[in-house]
Parts: sequence; structure tokens; C-alpha cells
Amino acid sequence: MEPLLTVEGLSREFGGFVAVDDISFALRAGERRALIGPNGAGKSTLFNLLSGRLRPNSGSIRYEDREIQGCSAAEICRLGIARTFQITSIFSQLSPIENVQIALIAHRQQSFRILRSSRRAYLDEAAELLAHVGLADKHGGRCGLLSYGDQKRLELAITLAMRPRLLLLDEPTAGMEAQSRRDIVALIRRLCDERALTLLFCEHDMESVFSIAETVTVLHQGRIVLEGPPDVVRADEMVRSIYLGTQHGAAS
Amino acid sequence: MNVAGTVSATILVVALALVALIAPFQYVFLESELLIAILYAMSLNLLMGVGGMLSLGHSAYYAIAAYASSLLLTRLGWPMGWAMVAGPPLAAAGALLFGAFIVRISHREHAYFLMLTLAFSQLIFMLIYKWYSVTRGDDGISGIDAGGVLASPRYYCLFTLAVVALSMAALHRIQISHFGLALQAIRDNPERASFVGLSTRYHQLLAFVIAGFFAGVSGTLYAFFAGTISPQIADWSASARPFLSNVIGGVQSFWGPVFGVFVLETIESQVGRFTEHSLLATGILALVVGIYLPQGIFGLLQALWQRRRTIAARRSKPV
Amino acid sequence: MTELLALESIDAYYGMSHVLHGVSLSVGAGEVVLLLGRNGAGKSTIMRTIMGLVATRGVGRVSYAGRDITGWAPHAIARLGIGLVPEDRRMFAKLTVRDNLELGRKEAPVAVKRERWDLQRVLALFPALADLQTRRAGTLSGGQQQMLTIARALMGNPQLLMLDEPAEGLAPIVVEALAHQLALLRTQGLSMLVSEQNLSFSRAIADRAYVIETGCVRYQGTLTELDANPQAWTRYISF
Repeated sequence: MEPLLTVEGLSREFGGFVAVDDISFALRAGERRALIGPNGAGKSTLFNLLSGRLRPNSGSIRYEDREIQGCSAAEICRLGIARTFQITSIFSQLSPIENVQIALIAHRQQSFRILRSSRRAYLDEAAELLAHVGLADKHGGRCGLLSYGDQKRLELAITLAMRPRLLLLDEPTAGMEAQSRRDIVALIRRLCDERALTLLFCEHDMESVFSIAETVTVLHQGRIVLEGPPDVVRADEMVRSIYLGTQHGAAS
Repeated sequence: MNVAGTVSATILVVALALVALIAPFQYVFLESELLIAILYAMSLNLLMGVGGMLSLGHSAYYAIAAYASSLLLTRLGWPMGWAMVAGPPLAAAGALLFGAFIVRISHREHAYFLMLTLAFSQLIFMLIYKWYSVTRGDDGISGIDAGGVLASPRYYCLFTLAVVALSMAALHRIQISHFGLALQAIRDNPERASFVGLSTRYHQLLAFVIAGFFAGVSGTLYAFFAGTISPQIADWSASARPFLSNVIGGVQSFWGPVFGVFVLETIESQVGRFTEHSLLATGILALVVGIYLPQGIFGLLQALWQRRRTIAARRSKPV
Repeated sequence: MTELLALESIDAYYGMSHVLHGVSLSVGAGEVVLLLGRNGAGKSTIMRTIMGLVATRGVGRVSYAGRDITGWAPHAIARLGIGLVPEDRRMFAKLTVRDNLELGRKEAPVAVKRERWDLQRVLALFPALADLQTRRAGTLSGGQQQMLTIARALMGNPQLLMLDEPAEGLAPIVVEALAHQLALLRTQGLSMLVSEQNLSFSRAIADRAYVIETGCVRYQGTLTELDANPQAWTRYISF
């Protein structure tokens, strides 16, 4: 079967510095892949290229049989690729329910309706999505006041509102302590199962990586240096020397 | 708007209608003038408050409509009704033309946006000023007489009240619409907005056009109210008035700019009695508000009201 | 052990919001103290209050090296030798990495036992930064920026270093190196207040810990004492 996402020869440089260097890989539909690597290896840049925040200098990105490199972020969203950000990106002046509502409105391309009230727009669906991510009782108030973990859950709800097939999660457990990490990991796994999502995520927390990923891709200096199942990657000498250090090497 | 809001608004409109019909003429004129200023400020509020786009060039659209209506009436002999109706769409066209240009360039850079809006309104000002053969430049256009039943100041005031009330209702509707929410989202977090699939540029352009349209409505109303217009209505200082009304009153609430218009008017009329320097008082107030009251005076009153309610609620709760 | 930093019954506010309630804690000279607790518990707020960035009211006091610094301006507090590495990686995005580090340079205030921090030493701690010296700080990845903010704080030769989630977003191998270096700094007499959720990192360096929950100190003790108290773990941390 055709892969959902095919990346070929993707490169991107910034004023002489090559952030992403001739990267090629493919994601099957339903696959869950982790992207790991040292700081500055090119993970965020790769995410930005895939989500349309940046244009590549060369190479192609093929999604569902369409070439999408060079498409705008908004276009790529509408095609079914949704992403989160390392620094949680939500509409902090709006309430949680409004955050989800606007994502639903945008997805249905109803955002130019100037006379239709937004108060009850897709309210049931928005409430359901909030419940799915564990925010059932947190509809109102400014979401800038939500706790950190709740903001991350809200961001997930926003991405789900776009009915994506491919989810790009940028350090989904960043800044959380152990229990919250486990909660978010459990949530991500459940959502992926329930909605048959394809997942590509980058992470520094190895426990989260190994809980979620089927395959792990290791990036170093803009190139893919290893790709394989988590056990293989974790035991690899080179990966240990450039990234994992001594603590995560042994399989627990 | 909820029931209480609708009822209060209706009462207000009825009260204003009564004033128009029975109060002495000076109040009728004042009412007309204030209503026009309120609509002008509200049209800018869609751009500044909801959209977060600061504009110092809103007078361009006010002036385009005023001049268009006036010229159609006085030069081309159009009937008053048609001349009036033509003004706002032409203002909107101007907003579309110019909006397409600046929104493309600067929808994320607020400072650039501000400067470009200012530049465009100055362009319109110069156009009106220089194109003597058409606009009579500095001499202005006179004889913009509302005919028929609107010739009476009282009925013109009622007419203005009706138009302004309907426009405010429309603007409110737009604010709470899908589009209004999209604009707020774009203002709040433009990046996340594009990452939910909202095209920032097109939404901002539509906001620009709608704001221009309603500025045009107030411009046309003004032309027939004053009977004579001059290039001054396109100047940057004319743009400053709705801008200041929004800032002083508070951009974040629907009624803020209305409040701002009243404050501005009060300063000018009351301070103006003692000194020529009412502008100084306005400037000082704007400075104070800018530094200490980012939510505007109305915003401050709202916050104080909220505080009283929370304190009262806390007191009545069992400990 | 002489007390270097002490907070006594501090109440802090963000506007109308009462965020810290009667917080008292201390850091001794040469000690490394840990702040534990969930997100939003108030750990960052405590550090920012010490730094003079958050308003306090009431009778609470912050004292440092014997002086009452309650209500002092942040720059005055920084001059005393307190360095803060904030959670959100503040740096001068348009300047190069090297310039950012140079800007952080400050001579040690008094004769100190430990070696001074200079550019060479800091780059030895973070070799990745050595390769990035001429890059503009704004173009660095999140983890690289984290390294830069820690490095810059060290360039200030602080007496007391406050680190808000220093290991966050760093590759495991870098976290190990950082733990080693901070442990080394501790033996050389640098006092530290660290808020961190990565427990293995914290164990290597900390002497004592305070558990913070909803703006209050719920528990305090050495790490061994904390280990022996499972109640504290499950109630407030559940690691």
C-alpha cells in the first residue's frame, strides 16, 4: 500500500547553515514514529517543513498522493495534517470551548460568515472534543489561565478538531513532571487508536518515546543516521554516544 | 445580545428618538453629530478591537463616501436617495483596493500597518485637495442639502438614529459571528490561526472592507448633516478622533468607543469654554489612559463593576 | 552552615491573584536546594519573587547574605550575585551566541574559592555551543537556547544560581553532562536553588528539597528523608 507521507531529498538551509540535509523517509498510514536527536539536529526544522511553516530549498513532500512542499500552513492544515508546538500555541484570550469552536469553524470553511453567531457554533462537537482530551468541565474562562498540562490537552483538542490523518506533535510532554507525562502519553495513544491517526512526534523524554513509538528515527546534524524499532535504536552505540548517554542505553 | 441588552438598547433608541422630536434644536444637532461620531468610532472598533489592527487612516473611507455622495448630488444631479446609497459601497471599494495592498505587506507588522494606513489617508487628502476641478479643493463642496422630509433637522436626526442603530446592530452581529471569532483568533495568535486553516490575509481584508463601509455610512450621513464638506475630513487629525475614542473608551468592549466619543466631546465642549487648548486636555487624557488604563475608561468601569460583584459574592458565601 | 538566602512568610501576588502563601525557605552557603512540585505549583513564582520580579505584600521578607532585599529592583538584586536561569529561555535573539555570553560576563563579587567562569570554561561545559558561537541566538533550536541561557548565567559568576527547569528540552546526554558539572560546581561552593522535575538529574546534585503545592510549602527535608516519607511523594508529587 502507498505510504501516507513520502519525503524525498528534503533540504533546508539558513544562510549557509544546513539545517536539514537531504532527508528521505516514508510513513505508513497508522504508523507511530518518534523523531529523536541532539539539540539542533534539525527536528523542529523538519516539522516546520512538513507543516508548511517553512519552504524547503529542495526535495519533495508527498502526502496522500499530492505534492505539498511549498503549500501554505493553512492549506496543509485543510489537507489533514495538524501539528502542535513545543511552546503550547493556543488562543489564550478565548475560552477553551471557543478555541475548539474556531478550529471546527475553520475546518468546515465557515469562517467568513459575518451574520451567523458563533456562540453555539458546533457546540456539541466542541464539547465532545474537550471531553475526549479530559477537559470536560473546563469550557469557560480565558484559557491563558489553564494549567500547563490542560493547555497541552487543549492544543490536542484543537488539532483533533481539524480531523487530521497525520498528527505532528512537537515535544508533547515538554515541561511536565512524571505523572502528567504518563497521562498525556496515555491520552495520545488512546486518541491515535480511536481515530486511526498517523503520528510523527519528537521528544526528549525516552520513556514517552518508548511508550508510544513503533519506529524511531534518529536525526543528527540534519541527516537521518538511524531508523528502526525502539529496542534497536536504544541499544545502538552511536546513538548512545551522540544523544542518549549512558542512562538510557540498557533496555529496562 | 441577551434579553436585558436588547431591552435597554430599545429603550435607548426610543429615548433618543423622543429627543430628536421634541428637544430644542441645539440638542437635536448635537445628537446627530454624536451619533455620526459614534458610528465612525464603532466602524474602527471592528478593525482595532476585534481585529487588533491599528489604523490611523480611517478618515480616508469617511471622506471617500462623503465626497462621492456630495459630488453625485451636486455635480451629477443624482437624486438624494441614490447619492446617499452610493457613498458607502464606494468607500468599501476604496478599502478593498487599499486593503489588498497593505494587508499583503504587513498583516503581522502592526507598526508598518499603522504607517501605511496613515499614508493612504494622506493620499486621499491630497487627491481631494489638489483635484480642484472635481472636488473644489480647499473651497470644499456646499449645498449638500437633504431634500424632502429629511430637510427638517428633526427628521434628519431620526433618520440618522435609524441608520446608526441598524449599523450598530449589524456591527454587533458581525462581532459575535463566525467571522468575528476568526478575527479574534487571528489577533490573539496569528500563527496558530493559520495552523487551524484560517487565512489571515483574507480575513483581515474583509474586516478592512467592512470597517471602511461603515466609515462610509457615517461619512455620507455627515455630508448631508453638515451641508458642506472640505478636505479636512480626510486629514490625519480627522482619523485621530475615532482612534482616540477607541483608545480612551476601551477597544475591547462593544460600548467602549461610544463612551470614548462622549468623553472626547465633553472635554472639547467643557474645556473649550475656558481655554482654546481643549486639544491639550484630550492629549493628556489619551496619554494617561495609554499608560495606566490599557483597557480604556469603559474597560476600567467594567473591571470595577466585576470586582464589586465578586467581592459581594464572596461576602455572601458561607465560610 | 551560614544562611545565604532566606524567605520568611512571603506572600506574592500577580495583580489581584494571591499566588504564594506564607512561603518560608532557605538556602545555605554552598548548599543545593531543590523545589519540587507540579506545574503551576509556584516554583517559578518563588524564584521570580526572589529576583524581585513579582510583587510581595505584607510582613514577609527576603534576605540575602544578611541584607533585606525585599522590594529591591531586579537589577540591584542581580548585582548582589544572584543569577536566574528562567524557564522560558530569554536571550537576545538578534545577537550572536558569543555576544550573548559576553554580555553575561561579570566578575565574581568577592574572592571566591572556585575558579571563575569565563568563555572558555563555559564552552567546555557545552561543547555544542562552541560550534554555534557566530550564529544568531534566535536561530538556535529550543534545546540549544536552553544551554545558552544556563551558560550566560554562569558567565555572571553568581554566588547563588537559581535554575528553573534546566534540564527541560535537553538531550539526555547533555543532561548528564550538566548534572556532572553542576555537581562539580557544588563541590566548589556554588549555592543553587533548582526547580526540576527530572528526578534522576536532581538527585545527583541536591542536598535538601521543598515540596511546593498551590503556592505553599507542604513539606521539606533532605532527599533521604523525603524518600522515607511515601505520603509526601504520593500526595504532592507522585513520581
